[in-house]
Parts: sequence; C-alpha cells; structure tokens
Amino acid sequence: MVEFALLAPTFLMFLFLLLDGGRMMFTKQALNEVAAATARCAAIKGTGCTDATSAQNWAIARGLARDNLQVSSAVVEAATCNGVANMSRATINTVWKKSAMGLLPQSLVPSTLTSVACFPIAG
Amino acid sequence: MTGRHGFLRHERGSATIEFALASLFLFGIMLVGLDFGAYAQQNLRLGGAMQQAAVIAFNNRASSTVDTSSLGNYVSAAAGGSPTMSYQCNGGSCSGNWTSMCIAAPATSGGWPTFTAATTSNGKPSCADGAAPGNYLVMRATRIYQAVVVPDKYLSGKTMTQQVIVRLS
Repeated sequence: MVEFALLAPTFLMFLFLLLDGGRMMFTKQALNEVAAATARCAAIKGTGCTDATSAQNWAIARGLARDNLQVSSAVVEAATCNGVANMSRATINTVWKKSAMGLLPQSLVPSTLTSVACFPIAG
Repeated sequence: MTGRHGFLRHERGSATIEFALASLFLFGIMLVGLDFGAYAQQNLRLGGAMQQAAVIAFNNRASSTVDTSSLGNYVSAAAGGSPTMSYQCNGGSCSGNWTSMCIAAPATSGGWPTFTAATTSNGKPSCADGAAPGNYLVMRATRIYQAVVVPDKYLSGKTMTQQVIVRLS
C-alpha cells in the first residue's frame, strides 16, 4: 500500500506525459494539415485565398473550424522550396499550451509549434 | 513461505516489480501504435510529395524533355527517406520524342498503365475508347517502411508505393 502510494505519482506522471506528448503530436499534425491546405489554396488561388492576406485569414479559419486549432500567425508567400522555384509556401504557428509537460524543463518543450508546407504555383 | 529462502522470501517491493513489468507492457502497446502512425504518416507524406511533383511536371510541360532528376530530387526532399523513383513517358523512357498515345488501365493489378498508338482521322488523333490521346507522364515512388514491432503483413506490405499520372500535352 505504501509502495503504491510512492509509485502512483511516478506512474501518473508517466501517463500524463504520454497523454500530453500525444496531444502535442496531434496538434503538430493538425498544423501540418493546415499548412499544406493553405499552401495549396494560395497556389491555385482558390476561393478565399487569392492574395497573401486572405490566405492568412483562410488558414486561421480552417485551423479553428477543423481542429479547434488557434493559429497564432500565418505567413503565405511565393518562395523556393527544396530547390524548386515558384512555389507557394505557408508557415503556420500556434502557441503550445503545455499541461503535464510543465514538469519538463522549458528547454525540452517548445512554446510554439511551427509547420511549413509548399505547393507548386499552378501556371 | 516455507519453501523459499533468502531473497525470494521478501515480499516488500513487490509493487515496484509489478510497476516495472507493467511499464514494459505499456511501452510495447505504445510502440505498436507509433508504428502504425509512422507508417500512415510516411505514406501520406510520400503521396503529397508526388502530387506536388505532378504539378511541377505540368508547370514545365512546355519543355521538350521531362526533367526526371529534378522531379526525383523534389520528391526526396519533400517526402524524406530517399524514395526510389521510376518514370514512364507514354509507356517508354522519358528521353526522346513523344508521340501522342492512348492510355488504358494496367494489364495486371499494380502494373504500369498500358499505351496504344492513337488513330488519326482527318489529321486529328483519337482513341477508340474515347480517352484523350496525349503525352502522359507516369511517376512512381516506392519507399521501404522499417517497422519497429508490427509485422509487415499488417502494414499492407512494407513497401509504400505512390503513383501519379499527369497528361503533359
């Protein structure tokens, strides 16, 4: 019983760190998806993202609508990606609110998650 | 208790031992989940890179040759893991002149699309099945997934394949 009392905090810390790690991976994946969709939308000049500013707003709206992701900043620009010019590049950031990860040193846990995606500009 | 001596007789610390054993089990379960996740993620990433390569190839359609090496470099950089690339232009190699061909389904499942010559009537090429005759680039990327714990047969074969077909002209 005493041993369990001693081990329980360790076990719970282990469990909650796993949950928080999973939550971080989920957020990162959602961010990747928003970045890829935004780069594509800007590249094909789809409805609602015909210029850089509207594409930023489109990214923010999509993050909220699909994954309840609070996009803190979005930059959409024409760039050279992986050696190929004339690409649309989206850089999307979100503030990472840590919970159980607060137990870890700050240097190990990012305060912002970033995702970059490119899509060739159709032409 | 009578049959046990020394270390085995002590029952203090049993919860610690149980915790150690349970942790191993928990890690095992987690690894399986990670394995499936990594497989799906790599496969999707390869597919995304191939879609982008198709658009890049289409953007350069005015060029007389298909720059397969730069397409391959792009897919490698975008998908990671150095996938093996192979290309077919109207069913043949991508060097040399193109002639307008008709595209049809592969003869065998997972094979390359088949191509037949277009028939010309009134100076205009056409296909018997109504498909649009043209110059088709078929690109295929394969990548081997190194599974950590899950046997390959549960990952629909460990080789990930993504193929795109783009009509350049």
